[in-house]
Amino acid sequence: MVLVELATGTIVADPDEVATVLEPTADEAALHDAAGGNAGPIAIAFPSFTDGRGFSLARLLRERHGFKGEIRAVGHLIPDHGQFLLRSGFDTAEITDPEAVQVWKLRSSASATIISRPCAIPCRCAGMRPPRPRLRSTRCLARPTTS
Amino acid sequence: MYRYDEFDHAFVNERVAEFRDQVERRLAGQLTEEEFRPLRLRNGLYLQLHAYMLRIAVPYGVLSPRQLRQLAMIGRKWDRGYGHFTTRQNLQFNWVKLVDIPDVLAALAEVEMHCIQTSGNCVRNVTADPYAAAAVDELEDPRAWCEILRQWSTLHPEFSWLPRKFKIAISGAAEDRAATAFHDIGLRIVRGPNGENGFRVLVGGGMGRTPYVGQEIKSFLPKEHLLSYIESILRVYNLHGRRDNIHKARIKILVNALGIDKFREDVEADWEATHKDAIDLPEDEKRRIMSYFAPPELPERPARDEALAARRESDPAFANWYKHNVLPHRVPGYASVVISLKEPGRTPGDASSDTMDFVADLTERFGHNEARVNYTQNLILPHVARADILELYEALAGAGCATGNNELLGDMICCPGLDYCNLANARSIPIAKEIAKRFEDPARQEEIGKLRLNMSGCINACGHHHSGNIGILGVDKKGTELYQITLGGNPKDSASVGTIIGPGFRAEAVPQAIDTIVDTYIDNRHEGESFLETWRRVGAAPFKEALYGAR
Amino acid sequence: MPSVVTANRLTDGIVVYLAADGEWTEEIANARVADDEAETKALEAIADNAVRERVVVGPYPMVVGLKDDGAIDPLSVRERIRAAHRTTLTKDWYDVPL
Repeated sequence: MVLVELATGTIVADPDEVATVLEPTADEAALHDAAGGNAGPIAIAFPSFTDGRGFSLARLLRERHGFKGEIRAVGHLIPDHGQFLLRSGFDTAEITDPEAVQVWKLRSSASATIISRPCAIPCRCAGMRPPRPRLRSTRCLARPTTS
Repeated sequence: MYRYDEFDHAFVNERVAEFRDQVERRLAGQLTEEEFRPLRLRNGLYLQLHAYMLRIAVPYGVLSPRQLRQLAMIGRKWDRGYGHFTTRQNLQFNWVKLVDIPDVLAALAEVEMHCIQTSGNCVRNVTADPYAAAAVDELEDPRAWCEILRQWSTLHPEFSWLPRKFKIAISGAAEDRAATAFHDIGLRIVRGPNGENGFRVLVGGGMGRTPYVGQEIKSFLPKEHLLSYIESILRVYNLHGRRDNIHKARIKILVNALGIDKFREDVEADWEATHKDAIDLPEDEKRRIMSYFAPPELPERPARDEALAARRESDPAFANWYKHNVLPHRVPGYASVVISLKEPGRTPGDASSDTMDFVADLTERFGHNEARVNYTQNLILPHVARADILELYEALAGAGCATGNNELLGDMICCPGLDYCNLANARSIPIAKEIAKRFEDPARQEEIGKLRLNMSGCINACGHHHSGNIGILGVDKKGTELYQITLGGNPKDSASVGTIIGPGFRAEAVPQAIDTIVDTYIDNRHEGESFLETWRRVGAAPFKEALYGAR
Repeated sequence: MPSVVTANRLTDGIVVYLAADGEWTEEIANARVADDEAETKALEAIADNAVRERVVVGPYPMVVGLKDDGAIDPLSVRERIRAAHRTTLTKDWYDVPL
């Protein structure tokens, strides 16, 4: 089991310990509690790779609950999730096969335009800058770069 | 029409490269079929009965001659020289090899086409009134809104792994020609209280094994909030739609389980909490997209109505075609012309590569470089000068494309059925052909008048049988193909789901059953009454009596 | 009951049958017929391996009829259409009898 940083497709050497694990059924109160105080990483569980509830939960944590810490995807994930995870607010994904990191990296970089398409602000995933702001509804929800 | 900019080109090319990589990973064993399946599906690739099937989006049903020719080329080079237009403004190729798909996608990208999200549990191709920017009853062109929704929904970060597929249709006209009531979200552009246009939003319509007519969730949504409101609908669905049972996973099940009022309450609460400014489209971006949909410059042309009248007088076949397949246009001296893909003996909705090339030529000669695809599986030239109609007719007649049956019984909607489809329980194409043969005489169809006959080869209802005035559903009963008939469906305003009239019929008995139903309608109808009006007035009894009375 | 194993070929999706020589054939006439359950299971095991080897997709066993001359008869309409490898475009509907 290794932790991939979605924006770079690299392995996180020393992962922080998860503060809260959210199941896909988490309600508003659970999101509120998890986000409170920005305590530490929140893990969102994906019981199946086709179950997309976690994408909504991450977005709600970012947009409605102001969570600024690490959001981690755990469970049945495939590299093709990478760009969706990144753009809905996840930072990292826990994967079982360390060999697959290269594919995750490839899928992230191959999606440079996709990812930068909606970005209005420089953010961690920025590969290319968009030619101009596009449909902002699909903008990247990854955290702004701090540097 | 919409033109890709640098971004769109880069985006679609990247998707081609991505799918090429996914195919390679599948062939190399890095993806199992289970993992590959949702990835290929969201690129429109199915594994059907005989081969792979590729579903290509025709966004809002608009095709340029260049696109038509490229589709024709793809059909010849990688398929068997023909494709099938579906009930959702898509084109399907039936025999493409998996190893060739990346090249096909690259060829599509050259002409600004793609297969993205034509399948899978995501927002599908957004469909529209095929007479957009031509119809006399149009309030506003829906295509720009379709394009906005297409861009917004493509690889949406939050809504690409929904419980089930999600279909949206938009009509901007008084008459609903996009079957909006049978979509997950149906949008009607309507005039608001202050004279401005907005959307009447329907939700939870659908066909399949549990058909529902969409219910109104919002009577008037200001246009600028379209994206944020749809996001709220999708968020409630994504979080609360059922994922435990594929047959109960569509939004219609959630809407009806909660009740429309509770569902609306949840959506409105989410919408209230939404930062709408961050989601709704900026005005300049909206204007940019709208600018692509300016109607073509249609120069003034003499209508030559006397020549048309004389030909109608002397040539019954032309008169029949003209009456049904030539529709009024908002610009004087112009018309919209339906190119029927329902010639008796042909598979409904199929077009050969030669036909595609031929229609491409016609759009250049007569159609201001534009063709449209109708959900009733025909092609349309939306902008034709009336002065060109005789010449156009000669060309169509010469190519066997001048069947004058638009909206008549012969204009059947028909899914591929068991001849192609992995999900089908029974064949539909051969039944459609037999029915077409039975009603081949134009005088008979004229006597019947407008009538929507729809047929599906299984309960998934791709052939829209639920919304046919007469619907036919193929089922498998202990190894025998059996056909259930429903009556009273309606895809337009005051939409309704047809009701099963009685026990099913064996294949060879279906044409006679349709004949009996039609005769019963004619016997019972009042002057000028449509099939639907007669059905709603007299009910099932006379039809049951005629079909089963002797039993 | 006599059974054969059928699937779709991975690279082009074409309908194939497991043949006597262990290869996959487009002709149902060349399919290997299992006479009992144990033999069917053995064919399924070969097919499962072919899935792992990425030769075919979605294999399944199906019961077939055997004509007097030993020819394999796909019993359902669906399997007759699959075995025919064609559709109504080239042949009329009676080609695959009801």
